[in-house]
Amino acid sequence: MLIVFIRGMILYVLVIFAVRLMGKRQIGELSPSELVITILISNIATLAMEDISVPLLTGTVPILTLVCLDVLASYACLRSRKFRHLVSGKPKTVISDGVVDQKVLRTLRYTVDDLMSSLRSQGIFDITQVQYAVVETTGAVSALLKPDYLPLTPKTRASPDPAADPPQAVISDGDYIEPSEKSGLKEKELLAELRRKNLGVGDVFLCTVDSSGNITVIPKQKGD
Amino acid sequence: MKRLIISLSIIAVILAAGFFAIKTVSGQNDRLYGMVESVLREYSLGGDAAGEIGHLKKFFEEEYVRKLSALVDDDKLAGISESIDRLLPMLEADCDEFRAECESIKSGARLIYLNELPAPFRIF
Repeated sequence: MLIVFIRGMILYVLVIFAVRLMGKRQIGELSPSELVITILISNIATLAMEDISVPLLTGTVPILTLVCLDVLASYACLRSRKFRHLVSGKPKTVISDGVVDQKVLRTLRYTVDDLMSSLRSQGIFDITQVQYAVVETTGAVSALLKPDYLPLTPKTRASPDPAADPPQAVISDGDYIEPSEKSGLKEKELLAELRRKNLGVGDVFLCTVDSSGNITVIPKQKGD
Repeated sequence: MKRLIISLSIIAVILAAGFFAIKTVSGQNDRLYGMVESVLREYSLGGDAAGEIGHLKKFFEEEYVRKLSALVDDDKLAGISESIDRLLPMLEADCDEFRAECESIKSGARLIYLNELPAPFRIF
């Protein structure tokens, strides 16, 4: 009995350390790989705690290995967009210009009920009020209301925003992302705009283009 | 970056501990094989086999188990322990299977060592 108690204490400290090493995340924000690792850790910890015929190391080594690999994978995700998409997937636009993309919903195996439920949880009960919605890699839905349904602010009172999708990222951390046809932006135009600012694609931290073709460039900070 | 360094350090420690475990098991097994061989030699020569079994039992309980219990399942160690416990009654009864029991101790220890080696057929 005492052995189980002492093992429990050791594993409690280990799991707390492991979760802290993984970083601060809420359950709802876990990416698929993090969710899998969290479930695995809880299962391994339980086995090592209960079965005293198994050495404690047999439980601690896989926990530490999984957490370390998760940290290494998240570092690789930070450095490589392709790896990030491989591990976490890509956000998918399910509503654009107020139109539901049913093909994407089918691809995501996301039912209309799921979509409506996610929108309702954000206080949106009428899908026709939505201008733009994205299913994030965590499975959560982010939605932007049409200007008519957005709260009035001093800026929008003077000149209401036209109904348009939010700006789209075309360069992320030095990587060029092919913009959708809707943006109407050609790669040549983008490169010309960057040249005017004396920047190359690799020098850009984030570059977005809105539906009117306005380009916003945030250069990388020196030393990064 | 701090987390990355901690993670790489932990992985390095795990790998080092893995190699240390293989070395420890190998070293302890060599000593165990030597003691079993001593028991067999004394048995063949009609010498003090009982004394050698006593040394073997003492070594197993005081060193082998203590050093390897953090690495090896209790069941595997219990299997070897049972074989060692059977040796003295078998010797006293002049049992034919005395040599076979000694070999089973060695094969049990060898199995523990092989289980520590990361051979592909053990991984998959």
